[in-house]
Amino acid sequence: MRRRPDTELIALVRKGSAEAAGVLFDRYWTHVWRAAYAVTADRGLADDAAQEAIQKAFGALHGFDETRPLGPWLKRIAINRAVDQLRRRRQVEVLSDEETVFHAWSVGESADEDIRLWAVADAVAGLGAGKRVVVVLHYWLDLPIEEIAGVLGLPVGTVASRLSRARKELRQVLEEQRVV
Amino acid sequence: MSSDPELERLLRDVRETLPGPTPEASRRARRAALAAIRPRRRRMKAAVLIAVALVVAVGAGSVLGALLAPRGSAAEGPMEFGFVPAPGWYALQAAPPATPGLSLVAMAANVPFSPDDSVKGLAEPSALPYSTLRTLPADGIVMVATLTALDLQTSGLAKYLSHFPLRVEDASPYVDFGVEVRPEKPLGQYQLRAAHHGWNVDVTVYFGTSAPSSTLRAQAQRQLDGVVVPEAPDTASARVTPKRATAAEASALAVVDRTFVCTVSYGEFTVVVSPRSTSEVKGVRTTSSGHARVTWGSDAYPLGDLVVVARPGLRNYITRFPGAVYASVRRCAASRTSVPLTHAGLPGPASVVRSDSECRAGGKVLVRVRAVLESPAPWRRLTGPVGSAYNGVKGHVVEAQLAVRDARTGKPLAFATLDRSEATRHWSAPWPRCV
Repeated sequence: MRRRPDTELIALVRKGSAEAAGVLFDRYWTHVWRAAYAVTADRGLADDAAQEAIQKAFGALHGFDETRPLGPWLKRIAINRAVDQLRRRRQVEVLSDEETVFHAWSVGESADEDIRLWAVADAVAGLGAGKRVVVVLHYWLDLPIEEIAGVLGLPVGTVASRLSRARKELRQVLEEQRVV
Repeated sequence: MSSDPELERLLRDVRETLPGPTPEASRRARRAALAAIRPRRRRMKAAVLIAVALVVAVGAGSVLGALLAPRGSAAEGPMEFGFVPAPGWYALQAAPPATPGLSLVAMAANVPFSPDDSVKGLAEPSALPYSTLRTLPADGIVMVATLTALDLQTSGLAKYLSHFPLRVEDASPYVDFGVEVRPEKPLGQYQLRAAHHGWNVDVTVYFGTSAPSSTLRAQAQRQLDGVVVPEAPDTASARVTPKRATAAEASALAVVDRTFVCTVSYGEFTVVVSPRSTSEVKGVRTTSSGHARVTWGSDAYPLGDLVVVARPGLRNYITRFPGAVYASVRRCAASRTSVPLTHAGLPGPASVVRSDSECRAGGKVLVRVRAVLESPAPWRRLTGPVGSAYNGVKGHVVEAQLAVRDARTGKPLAFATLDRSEATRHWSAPWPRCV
């Protein structure tokens, strides 16, 4: 079951297979949650946003066009939900960076690489929320600037400007730490 | 778009470092997602299955419970909890915890347990058969079950728990916050949480491979069917008091064993090992927790610590997090290098009083710390007087070992132990490596 492609699993889910739904959940849940966490930078908000997203998506699987890839669709729902969560709590501009930890313990090929990546993650976490969300959407979640503008409801120029300022700020911080 | 390809590459790579969801959040979301599509008639079917399974489990439990008293160990704890080993499997129980409210532990494996993971025929109470897991072959399976009396009415957790019979296919991925037992060759780690007979039953299933085959999963399921739970918390309530289980506890470890590679300034660092002591200077009484520290700066520098294991005590400028194991976020990174916990290669006898050894290394040192904590706690970012510069775990350190090696040459530089008796021992390399 676990090796079946998404299209087959979706077909089984439509026939009422909870097992197939479980496999799909396991396949995508972490990705969905990480997308939500990247945007919200808050575990509680990410939990809520990701759960809402995957619940909504699974509820809509009957109408899903299986010729489209499932992953990007889920990711986009998660992003929208996460941004909604931020808006709902009016935290886009005032989100506290105090407890933001963007990195897990070890992922890189080497300890040196880990240190570099952690420094970058910390630097991103240290950006103002407005710039951070733009960076995260663009570099971590692969959204082009035009789509970011659509998600955030901002002019394309504003998004590009924020991204440029964020890069400048990140470079300055990382140069001080001799990471770049 | 940008003229900064190096920065862009780093920004894209760093997304791989994002942490994952907690098991609790995953379980909640799974239920919500499946409920969104599951036809209602299946619930009735599931209810019938559960009812049948409960009848079978109750009947089987009373018969099979007696089989769970190998080598007399069961007399020390509730006999009805544990695994009935399937053919070719091995089962262990832990002694009842000395501290009321902690979980009872039982383990099963399709490979022999490492001698490190059992004491006189009983399972180590940490609920982590670390040595067995470290050497688990690809077709190996280890299961660890914990049993906690849980007030389901007040905890609010009931709606998130599964019911017996447990199914491997319902398990959620367990690795969280990067707590990977064997990062160089990842295990498949899954967790099941269930309510049964008024108990909270947590089962962690470790596979020797991160992609367990259907055959392996079926084998695990057969052993999972052999978990037996007491009928009600009453018989063990004198030993286990109801407590509220949290997601953090469910995913926590009672044994911390981590290896780091740490950057030291100018190749110099200091290892400080101190037994627990109380001193009085000008009328000010200070209790120093017993600790072993590797530091690249002076005692007065708040960010000088690289890796520290400290017993409980008063927080002071030396011990910023008493009762904790922690490592510098900035200077230390997790390492996959094997560092033996031994004083071999270091001259004796060990110092048993407070001692410092100033050592030199080629820019980086490997530090392995292994600590046994009295109760489980999650590894996380610690906040304190120096902000959030350290990651670690807070808890009552029962015993610990700390080994330091030169990352470049691999030569041993220092080794320290904090014993259960609160004594400390400290070995260090001879001059010119250490003074």
